[in-house]
Amino acid sequence: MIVLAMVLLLQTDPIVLKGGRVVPVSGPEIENGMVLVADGKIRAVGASIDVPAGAKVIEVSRTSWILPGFIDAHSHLGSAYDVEESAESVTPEAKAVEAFTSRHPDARAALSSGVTLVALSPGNGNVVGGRVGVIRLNGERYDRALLKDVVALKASIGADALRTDREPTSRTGAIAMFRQRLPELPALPIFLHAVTPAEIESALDLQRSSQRRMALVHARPSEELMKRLASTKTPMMVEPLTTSDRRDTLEMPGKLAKAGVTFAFVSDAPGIPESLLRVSAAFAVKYGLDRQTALKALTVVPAELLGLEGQRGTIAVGQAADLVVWDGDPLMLTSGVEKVLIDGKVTWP
Amino acid sequence: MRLLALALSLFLQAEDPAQSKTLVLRGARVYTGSGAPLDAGIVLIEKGRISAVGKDVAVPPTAQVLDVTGKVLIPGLIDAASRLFLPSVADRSPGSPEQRVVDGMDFFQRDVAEAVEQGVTTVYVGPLGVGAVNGLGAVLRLDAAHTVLDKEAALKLSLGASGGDTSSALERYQSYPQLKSLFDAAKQYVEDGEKYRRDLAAYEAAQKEKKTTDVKNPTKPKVDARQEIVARCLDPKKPLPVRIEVHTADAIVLALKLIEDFKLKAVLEYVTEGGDVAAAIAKAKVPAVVGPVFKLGGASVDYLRHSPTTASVLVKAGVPTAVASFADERAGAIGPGATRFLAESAAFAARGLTREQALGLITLEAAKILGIDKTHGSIEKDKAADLVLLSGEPFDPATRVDRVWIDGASVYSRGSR
Repeated sequence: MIVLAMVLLLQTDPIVLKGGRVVPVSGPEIENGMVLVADGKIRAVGASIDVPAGAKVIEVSRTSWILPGFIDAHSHLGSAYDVEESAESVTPEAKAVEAFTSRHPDARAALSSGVTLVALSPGNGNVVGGRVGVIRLNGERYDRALLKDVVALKASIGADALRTDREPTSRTGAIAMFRQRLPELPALPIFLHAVTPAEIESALDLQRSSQRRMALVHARPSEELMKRLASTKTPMMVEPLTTSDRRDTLEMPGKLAKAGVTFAFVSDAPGIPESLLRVSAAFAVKYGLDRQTALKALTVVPAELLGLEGQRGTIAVGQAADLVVWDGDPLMLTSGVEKVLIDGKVTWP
Repeated sequence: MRLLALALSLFLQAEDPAQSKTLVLRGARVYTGSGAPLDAGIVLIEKGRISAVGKDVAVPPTAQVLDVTGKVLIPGLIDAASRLFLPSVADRSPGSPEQRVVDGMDFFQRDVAEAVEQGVTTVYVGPLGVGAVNGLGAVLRLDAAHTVLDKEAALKLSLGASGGDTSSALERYQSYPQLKSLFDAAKQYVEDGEKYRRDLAAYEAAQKEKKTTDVKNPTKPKVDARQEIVARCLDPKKPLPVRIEVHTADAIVLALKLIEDFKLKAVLEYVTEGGDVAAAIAKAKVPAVVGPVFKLGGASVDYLRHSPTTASVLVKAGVPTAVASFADERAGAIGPGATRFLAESAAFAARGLTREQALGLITLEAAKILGIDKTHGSIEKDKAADLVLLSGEPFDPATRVDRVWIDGASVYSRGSR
């Protein structure tokens, strides 16, 4: 399968995106820039680059923006919540990507969202839910959409993991069970669902005692806890912002940035569709977050969380060519997606 | 409560020099709402109204001049379907024509202040309710007194709204015959009333002439509060507008038929699949209030074919269109707070429209649909001085609302609360 994928990639002609504002997110922006992609990777970026013979030149309007594809580090896209083995509470072998339906209407709808990579995660209903994997939104069937079947382990000490018909039934029980099972769990980063300040404190204790790398999912830390998250370099996945959120929730990303907490915006699809991932970022900017951190929280930060740093998430030579052409600033909600490239291939429209 | 609000309003007005003398906003880029924006425009405000707007406007020497060079001035935003003043819990109780949403309002809700801080100055609030007939919506100003412009602004109806997660067409379209018989009955009620008045006049005339004929004293028909409201919708001179909630293309077509059959002054609400029948809506000259724009997961079947850009398709087809927050729990956007994101809703809906058109969806077009465009909705001479001063261009998330005026009175100033 890998060989087949390689062959498919090698067959694509080099593509040059010519014109537009290139926003690598990790580096300086280039007005009216150019990006060369070949064999699925970014080969050159600059104001002026040599166009190899036979390359297909895609003209981009000067007012358009070229960004790395957005990465959603926590989603249940196209898996209809079918990502929980609820008879047991510790199921580390379960793989969320195996519930993915590539032809699901939500997955089709997501192709034009500007999101190119989606981490599929088990739900919050188990203390150890299973493995998080990554799929590409390239419109291909499951085996060709799959990028990595395992990048992290999903766990939960939140209220969702507690049930009346099996253990754990209490928060102390959940934490005890998690602590006991931690040593035997595979050496993967842990995405831990911990929402309330008390759960976040427990998570920080568990992280310290186990020396395991953790990222907190849907945490709502107090400002005091933000300082501890920053000093322990514990990253967060911020629950999507909606029109009905209270002001303190809307202001949280801005406060996290000021406190020095690293965070990514996530969709938690299908709760919030992939198309609204950038809306969370725009709402956060409206309520005080700076633009640069907002863009990082959609690209480089989720790439790091998924262990893809240096491979995806920015526009740089050698990175996978996951590129989205927007007809303007993607944080302006008036803007829309013009073109999507994944692994150097035009996947939308 | 209203007295307190009034007292508060008087206090604020006494504080505000805009009420006592001419206020001049000079130097901003002005999106007037009609035509291209004015660069370095001058806006004069006297007695709560805009007395002049342009590039060359004579400034009275006694006027208070505010230099707002580099800023952007837009008309106060109008949410043509808000849930402000209503509880954030889902209300799914059956309605009735004479029920007024204004009677269930909470005027102390903090979401109102947050909406003002985002530049919203006027809202229409309608009832949700289940079933075909939901009640009377109201138009309110977000000034300190929360002035109610119209307690009975429109009768809210629903046609083919499922509200659930099944899509039984049989069940959904029960509302069409229900609405048809509602208006048939009201028509009969009006005719019965007219017949009574004719018969009474004939009887009185006969009495006067002391004829001992067989002209009988007619029995007075009972006054029915529900029928009185519905009958007002059929009044050819000054009809009470109806608002019809529609989602599917089929329901929209049925609604247009109902509107035509009973010659209703109507506005379509939600209009989820309006993009598919845009030409038919345009031909019927029925305006549309579109939303919610941000559909979340778990939305009811009514939103299966939701598209954020429906409003844009309708505008291009020539339908008078406004975008509203709606905050319908069935689309996932629960609660009155959604009005804070009215500008974001318009932005997200406005693919392929100009910035002026996008702004129009939540200002002048909304004012027209609410029937208040002669006095509100744009920055023009003699209109109410509802103004929003922005730190930058509208729809940029980094832009902040600096000041908001309603009727020339300052209701928000960034950093001062």
